[in-house]
Amino acid sequence: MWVLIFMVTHAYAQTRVITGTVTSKADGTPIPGVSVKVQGTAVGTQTRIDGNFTLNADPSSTLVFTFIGYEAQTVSLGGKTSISVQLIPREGQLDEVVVTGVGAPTKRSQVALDVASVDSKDFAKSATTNATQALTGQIAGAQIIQKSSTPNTGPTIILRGYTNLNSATPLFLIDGVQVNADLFNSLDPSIVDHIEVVKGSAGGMLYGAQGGNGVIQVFTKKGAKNGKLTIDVSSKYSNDRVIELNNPVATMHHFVTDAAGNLLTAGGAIVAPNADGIYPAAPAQEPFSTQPTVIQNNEKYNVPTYDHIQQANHVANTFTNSVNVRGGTDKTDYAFGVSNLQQQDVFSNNYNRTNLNMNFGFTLAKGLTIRNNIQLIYNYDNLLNSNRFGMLMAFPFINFDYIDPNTGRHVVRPDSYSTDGLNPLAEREVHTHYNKTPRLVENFNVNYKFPKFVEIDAKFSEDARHSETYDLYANQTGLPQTLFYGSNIGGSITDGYDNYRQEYGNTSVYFRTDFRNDFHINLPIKTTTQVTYDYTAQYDHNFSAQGVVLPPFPPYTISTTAGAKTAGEGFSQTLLYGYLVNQTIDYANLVGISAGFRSDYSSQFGAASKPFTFPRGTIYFNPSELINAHEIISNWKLRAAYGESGVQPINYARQVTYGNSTYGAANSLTALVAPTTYNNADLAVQVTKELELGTDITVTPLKNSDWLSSITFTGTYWHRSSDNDIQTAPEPPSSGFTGFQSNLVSLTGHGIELSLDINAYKSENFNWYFGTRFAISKTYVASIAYNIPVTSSIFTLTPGQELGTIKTQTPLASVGQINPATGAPYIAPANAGNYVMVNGAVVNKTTYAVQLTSTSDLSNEGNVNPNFTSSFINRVTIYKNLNLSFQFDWNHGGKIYNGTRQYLARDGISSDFDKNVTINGNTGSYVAYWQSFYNALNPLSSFVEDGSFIRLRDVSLSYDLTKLVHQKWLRSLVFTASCRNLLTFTKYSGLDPEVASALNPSTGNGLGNIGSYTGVDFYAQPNLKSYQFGFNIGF
Amino acid sequence: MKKFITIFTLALVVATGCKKSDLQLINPNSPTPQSALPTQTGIEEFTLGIWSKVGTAGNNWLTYSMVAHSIMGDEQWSSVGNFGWRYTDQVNTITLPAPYNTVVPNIFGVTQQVELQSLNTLVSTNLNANNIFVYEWNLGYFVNGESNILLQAIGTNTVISANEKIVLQAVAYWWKGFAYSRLGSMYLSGVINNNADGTTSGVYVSHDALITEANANFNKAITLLSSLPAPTANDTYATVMKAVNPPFCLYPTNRDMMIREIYTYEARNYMVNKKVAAMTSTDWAAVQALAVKGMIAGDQGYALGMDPTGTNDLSGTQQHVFEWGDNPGMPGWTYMSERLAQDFKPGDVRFTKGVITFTAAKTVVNNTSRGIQFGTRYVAQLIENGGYWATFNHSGYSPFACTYEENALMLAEASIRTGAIDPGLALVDQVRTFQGAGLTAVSGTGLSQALAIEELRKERRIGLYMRGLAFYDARRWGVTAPASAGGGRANCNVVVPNNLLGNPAATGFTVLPCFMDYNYMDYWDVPATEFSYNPPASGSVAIAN
Repeated sequence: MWVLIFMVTHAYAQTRVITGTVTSKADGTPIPGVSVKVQGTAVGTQTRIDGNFTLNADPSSTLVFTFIGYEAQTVSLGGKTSISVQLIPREGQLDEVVVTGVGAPTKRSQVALDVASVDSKDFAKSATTNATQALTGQIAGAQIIQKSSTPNTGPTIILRGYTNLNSATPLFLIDGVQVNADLFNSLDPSIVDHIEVVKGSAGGMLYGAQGGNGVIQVFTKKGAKNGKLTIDVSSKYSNDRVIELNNPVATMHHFVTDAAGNLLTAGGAIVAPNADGIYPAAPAQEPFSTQPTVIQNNEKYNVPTYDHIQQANHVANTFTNSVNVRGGTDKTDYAFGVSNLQQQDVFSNNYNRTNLNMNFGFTLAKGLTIRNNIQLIYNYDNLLNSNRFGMLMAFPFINFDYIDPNTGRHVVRPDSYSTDGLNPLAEREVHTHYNKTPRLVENFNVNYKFPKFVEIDAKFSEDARHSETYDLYANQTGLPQTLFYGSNIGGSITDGYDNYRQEYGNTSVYFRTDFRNDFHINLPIKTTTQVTYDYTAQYDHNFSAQGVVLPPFPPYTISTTAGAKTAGEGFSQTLLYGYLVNQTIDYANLVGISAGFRSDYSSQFGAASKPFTFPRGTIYFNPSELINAHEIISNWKLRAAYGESGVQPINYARQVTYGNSTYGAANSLTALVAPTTYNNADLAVQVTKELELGTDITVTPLKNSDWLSSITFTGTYWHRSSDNDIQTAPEPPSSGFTGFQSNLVSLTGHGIELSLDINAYKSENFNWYFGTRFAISKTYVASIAYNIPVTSSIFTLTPGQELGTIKTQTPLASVGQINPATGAPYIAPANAGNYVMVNGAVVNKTTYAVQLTSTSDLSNEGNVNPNFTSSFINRVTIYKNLNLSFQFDWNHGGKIYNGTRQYLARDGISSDFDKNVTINGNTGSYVAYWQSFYNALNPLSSFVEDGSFIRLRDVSLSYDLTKLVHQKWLRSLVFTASCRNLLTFTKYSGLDPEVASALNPSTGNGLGNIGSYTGVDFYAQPNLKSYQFGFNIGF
Repeated sequence: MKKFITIFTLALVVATGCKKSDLQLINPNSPTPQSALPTQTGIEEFTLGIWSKVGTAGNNWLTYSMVAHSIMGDEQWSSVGNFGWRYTDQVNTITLPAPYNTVVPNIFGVTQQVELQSLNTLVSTNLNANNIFVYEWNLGYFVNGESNILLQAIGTNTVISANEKIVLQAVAYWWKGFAYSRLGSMYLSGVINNNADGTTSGVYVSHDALITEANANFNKAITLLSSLPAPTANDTYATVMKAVNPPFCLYPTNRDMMIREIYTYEARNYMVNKKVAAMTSTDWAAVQALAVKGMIAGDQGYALGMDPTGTNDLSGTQQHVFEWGDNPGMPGWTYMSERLAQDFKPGDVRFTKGVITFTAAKTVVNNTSRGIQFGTRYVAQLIENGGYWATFNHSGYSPFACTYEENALMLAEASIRTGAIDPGLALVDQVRTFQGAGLTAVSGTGLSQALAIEELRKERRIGLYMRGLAFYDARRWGVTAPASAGGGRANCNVVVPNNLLGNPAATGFTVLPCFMDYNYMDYWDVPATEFSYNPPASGSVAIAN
């Protein structure tokens, strides 16, 4: 104590108030949490969130600025009382201040959670259209699957497997403000500074009933106080096409032909289109079912054939342009910009997005700052999204691109005999659709730091959008076919709008103490007490009106339509509010604990007014503070976190309501209908409890070498249990219902996530960074109430079984195989001689049909979730101006159910049919054999394939011309060429192993509520392969 | 300082404005039972809602069931796997006539029963929707469940008039009778459930007991309707019925017509659930006793229609028996059977107006190689082009309960089979005249009983085409019984691919009179979706064949 008093007195005698700002050299943004010390003394402070600091020091002294992740800097004040310092980031150290999951901004060395962070400068250059795309492969344990090439469609994000059976969508935040997930698709990626991801409940608990699936937070770029005016212009062109790894359609055929090889119909006519390009009858298949040992798929087409994948999907072009301006004065900072995305998709749709961003910060008085961030977003699209599967299923001699010379149009259905859909390429000729969405996102923040102890922060945001949809089907009477798009051959007009508004308010009070400075107790203890209250309210109203039968002459409006006019609307509203209390105690950098809870009230909870409370606690310990080997181990942390968080029931799921059906377009009556699946007034929140253990370590083994200047390793093990997961409980139909919304299921899960960042080589003219990410995640069904198994498609929920396990019938593996239902052999021993083994399966010698177990005798055929996901990232800089980066993603072990291949067996056009097989000594491409696998589309193990793949996700080459041009006004000039999804290495026989969707092969319906969001390939639209060119100019 | 205090105060007020009472957000889109059922309009709308349990535009249980009956009765065929149709349509064997005498088994090589039972699993039901046992079961029990809720709600509703209550209760009992009639006429066993709370019974009773329950409900409806005070009975009935039936469907337009439809249904229940070979004169008298109280010419029965625009109806432009038939908009789903076409008598106007003959090139042969029963030269003419049984522009009404013609032909059959041949044939003639067949009268021509029965058989096939009776008839007449038990149909036309006639390379087809051994199940098993979640309690009868 004597020393302390002496020091304070001593300091007071000679000091003045020194103020300053610390920013990052990399991008000029302020750095909070930087340690500022007067050299040779114990006097010091930290920079605040705006990067500013104040301390008392002798103006002749020297200040030392240190911050993890940046090179330390020593600055002599030289008599000045105000300075600006720019810290240079230390290469390869992913260490900074994090916010997500910890409440108050916290130095990474004091964070007890696995908070992953990706800086915009490390984004894959080929991630063009939205910010989440840039996260693919960058974060261990985050599966980010772009399932659709349709513009403005976000990826499916699965963080650490599954906590429930309904949704894997995490909570999204932008600059501390909770937003709807769809805003992420619309956000301009060029304003993103960095993204933080908290993968599990331990961090998610700060967000209570909404944090169960993890949290993703985007931080936007801000200007810097006293920052120079900078202008960045960037432009990019992308050329996109669908990935088609394998053509799933057979090249040979088994149709009846005449002597000249012409395909014949069943009636004996030559298969040919009429004058309008319409095939009146299908070719007749040779009678493989009656002559199974004869008919082979071995005839060549004598007519041209077409690759329908290529006809269905065109090459698309995408352009992005942006201008961003940033800077600041001593009391303000500003960042504003405008960007435009013109995206074409492979269906020849256009999507156009314009973003205007304005972010201003003001210091109004000492300690008082306000920030206002406005984004204006305008989306326009004309998306027609006809599924292309019907084209794939059509016989390959059908030319969907054919233009009927009599009409000048595509043929509506060239294969007029088929049960499959209309030609989607013809749709645009009669169908006009657009959607316009202006959107305003306003985010206002006030922050006041009392001179001591207390900081108050209040945020208020509003996200409002108004979508207008217009849909017109032309009058299609008088065309060669009486087929039409839309609901009425006379055409229709549908107009609609959707008004959506989300409000978010957050008030936080932080009470901070520093035992040394505040209480003069000589212990390096700091505490932070956080109390937060926040609320989210959503309002939605949609309206649409339709008129059918267009008038013979314009104008075409609903009013002028001749047929019935109908209208409808829907409303939705939710409200959630809650408060958070969290206490953090740090002992220097050595050890820290935090504990707290969050309590939520929500309109979506069953019995609505009862709160759900989610506790949490964390601890970290930095052994590196105790060991004297900082030269080698610059940072080593052990951490543990426990937290609970939840996922709410969907809106209104707690209310038993009757559906409204309108009967009769003209003379309308309304019917009330009790739904077949009824709601449950007592639905509880789905709660996940998670324990996370991990370590972060940075070593610098070869301090004075060019090699391995730093190695950072992060490893996390997590274990969790989720209870009250909502699943429809099946009911026997004799009850009048088929299901009941219920908190039916409990899940458990565990996993490992590893990240390694290595600055492998660093010299004057050559830098090489290598990073790798690796994750294992397993989710199991722990229990199901009432012990009722739940089945959907290839999936069954069975207690003790891993989620996503495929169950199918199998070909009999031996002639004597026993049917467990009867205890008798499937094949009577007396008939055993009628069967032979073919490729490990029992095949009937007479019918050539593979013999299968019964539909009640199913076996586990692996799991759709990968054994591990991983990625490998390399970034190389040569001569400071040539950058090469590439990223490989490797998903290993996940199975895919190739429903597309099975479906194509239906019409005998699967590429399997070209393959030879030896049955009973005869070799040939026997149609009856291959067709027998179709099996009424019932799941069969023969269609379960290894979905492992290695994909060259990104390869980019940038050249920095700044030095060559050498103009004072030019800050940077960089050209970039990149490719996305250029190469894929896989054994998978389908189009693309990555986009296998969870669709029901027969009906195309999604697999609701079964908790498998991936793994069935029922003609999922393949991913895109892109070639891109771009430049950035900075002034 | 003042400035930021103001800002903070504002921010805090905005951010902390939520109260517990704000959480009680009621679904603003959908009515609740508590708000709707106590009102008059609410209970009428709920009654109307029973139609959506008959079928919705996306899932029309009634239509799937009607088509299933139609294909098992070999009026139509379908080679598509959807809804389990092709598996249901698995004729056991087809024997070609001499000199070929080839026996062509179905491509699965097992009986329909084995095939359908193999699909009666949760996987087949949930994944591919090809478990045929599900649809009619759901139709029956969804209608029954909604009717149970309705009856309970009528009981507690205090605002509707006593007479309206009578009509609404009668409608509920009608639907329950309809539901149990369908269930009892198709399933080996089922449960009887009068609960309105979503619970059910675990005791499975026989199909005969289900029919008894059906008739009990029908009788309640008759008693209630008969109790309507005479002077206003038809007005009350008409007003209520207009509110509780969709504008695009048909229903009996007056009280007595409704009662007659129910009697016809009771007669049907009696007749179709007993093999004709087992029918005694007492049985025929019972059928006759009900049918004489049944429908008369000009009566309107329940019929499923479509909205002319194809919107806001139960078909959604597709899910109607008239729209499933092969047509330019919906090719390839169901086709008129050769075996139906050959039952038209020459010169029948219903054939010339109602049936189109394909050109040889368009003739369907062994469709997608799924079996030679899947072939035809015929397709139904569109109603909009003067036909009766198909449409592409949402025209026409498909009777799914009873009709005058059915009633007349039941009377005719009872008559002919009990020896009163000519009065029976006169009824056949009446039906033909009623439908404008333009055929010469057969009564008074001195036909033998066997020939009279053949006239009756043909008329039931043609006059009741696509009315959901073909399978009942095939079953009770013994056609669907195994050939070994005397079943099957001789001399029935099959479009045979020429390559089956000895030369594998031959192209084209030949229509040959074959023998078909259908070997279909008489009554279906209880579907997996029921017994998996409602296992049979003690005292239950068998739930599977």
